[in-house]
Amino acid sequence: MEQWAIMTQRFVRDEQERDQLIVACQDGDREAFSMLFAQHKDKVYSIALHFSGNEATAHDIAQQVFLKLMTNIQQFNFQAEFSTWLYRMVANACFDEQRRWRKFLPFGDDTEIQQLRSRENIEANYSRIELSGAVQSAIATLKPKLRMPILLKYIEGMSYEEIAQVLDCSMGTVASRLNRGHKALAEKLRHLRGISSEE
Amino acid sequence: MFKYHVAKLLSAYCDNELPEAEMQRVQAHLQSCPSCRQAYEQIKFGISLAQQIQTVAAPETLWFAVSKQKSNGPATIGFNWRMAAALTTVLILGLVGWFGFSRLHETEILKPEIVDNQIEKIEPAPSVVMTPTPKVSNKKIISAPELQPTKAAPNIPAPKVAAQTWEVASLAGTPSIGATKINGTEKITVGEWLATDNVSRAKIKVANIGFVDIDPNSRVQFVSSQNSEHRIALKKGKLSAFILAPPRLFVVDTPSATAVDLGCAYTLEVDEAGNSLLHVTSGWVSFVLPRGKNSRRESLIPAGAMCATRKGAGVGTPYFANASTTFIAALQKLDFGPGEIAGTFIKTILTESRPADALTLWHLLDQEKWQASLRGQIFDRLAELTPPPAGVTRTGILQGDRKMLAQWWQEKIH
Repeated sequence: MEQWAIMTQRFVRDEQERDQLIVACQDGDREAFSMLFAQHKDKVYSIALHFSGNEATAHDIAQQVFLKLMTNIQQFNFQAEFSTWLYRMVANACFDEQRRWRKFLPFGDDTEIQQLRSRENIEANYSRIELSGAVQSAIATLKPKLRMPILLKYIEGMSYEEIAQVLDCSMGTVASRLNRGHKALAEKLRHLRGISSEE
Repeated sequence: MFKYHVAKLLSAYCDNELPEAEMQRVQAHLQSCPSCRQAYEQIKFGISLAQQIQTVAAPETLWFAVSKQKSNGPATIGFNWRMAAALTTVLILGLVGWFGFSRLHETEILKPEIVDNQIEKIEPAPSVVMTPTPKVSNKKIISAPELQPTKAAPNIPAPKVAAQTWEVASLAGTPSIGATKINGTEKITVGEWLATDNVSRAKIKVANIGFVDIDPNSRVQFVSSQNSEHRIALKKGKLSAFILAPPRLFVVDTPSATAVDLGCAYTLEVDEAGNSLLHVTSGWVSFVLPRGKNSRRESLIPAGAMCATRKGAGVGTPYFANASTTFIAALQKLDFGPGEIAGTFIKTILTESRPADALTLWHLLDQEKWQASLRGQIFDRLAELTPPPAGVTRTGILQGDRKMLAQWWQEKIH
């Protein structure tokens, strides 16, 4: 799998080749799509997983995204960055799923339940002093609108401008949400101060 | 000086996302404002935490799921010979490496596996053969895929008939093919039986689409191998199948039902009486009555779900393995017990059902043998757990409108 990933990166090492791959996908080339899938599957899945906090839901979200990608890729016109276009689908799918689950919750709002669930997770993680797990749990307690910019930045490595394009908002809004997200993370995990700097 | 605190700009400052003048202003302010400096330390800590977020490898099942879903859609699948050659080569290398065999094979596989040092050497390969068109059975909800090459290639030979022998390796003890003991590897030919005793295990390489592991005390017959279908029969015992192929290409007959692979991994057990139990671990499997039995009953079993069959009684209703024991017990009695007290079991099932059990309730609703009042109760509970999409009505479902039932499945349950 690692070799495959290296090969994939080499295969799409410059923009022209990336465009060729997308054109091949638009021509209905299944193998080109599997290359495109290989490039993006881990990050798409990771964003879905950190957003939803649930493997099965993340699987569903990622599946929806790639099906939508296969179906709609002919609509991509190369005027925007492909990653922006793709991650807008990812963000929309995550928000849709979050709205869908909110309807099924038997009481309260989802934030309340997530906080309850995550508090348990955080406590469990504290006992293991497992930093990344604790961060993952804390991420799940953030409001969705704060969660998504953080995931786009730290998983996909997007700039504020790219995040703004994906989320269809201003760069100022992105800056504000990231600031609030960072602050909330620091407050939720203040017990870990010192551990993260040693990592 | 403190009129223009910069606390709201600190993340952008740390990320170097501010205009130069603003960066300088924040920097200067931080030197003189303890409050903002404290906030700055907090944001830096928050950033260091966020940097711990890790990319997680997507599960292997994701490609199966996408591939299966797409195969059910109307889009025509194109073909790229260069990439297909690469995929085929890697598939061959992977299978050979894994299983220790050296024969080359022709068919492509859906899973994207490409080896780094192969891709640059590969020229357009006229010898690559397109994935065959699976036969379409009497599937009622999810149409089987019709994979056809969209680009004609005059120098491409017609699909070859699949090999009539498969490789079999001993995993433990000495399994046998007929009277031949397997020490290492052997070939099995169409019609032959593979048997394991109480200590032996074997691995079958199913053409070039996957593997089947045979547990102890099992008997398996190699029924047929064509490009459109590879079929074995499990007389008794247990097998674990791992198949990377278009849906409906791999089929296992049991005495009481037939398992049709829809792109998946699963285990299948058959007891001495010929009853079977299917447990899907990845993708989907369809369970239908054996060939020759006229019934349109088909159970669709996703990953995490199970389905039982009874010889003479047919295919049971699928259920998730993590359903309550009361739920599962009632379902088994409903499927294979006395029909006259079905209402009692259905009531228990409905009471015990969770949202995930919509899978089971939908399959129950799909059976027209229940009285109208029972079907009404099933509809109501299913609608409560998974509201039907627009256009699907109680009246329509109870009147047997299969389009509505299919719509509910495809939009909400599947």
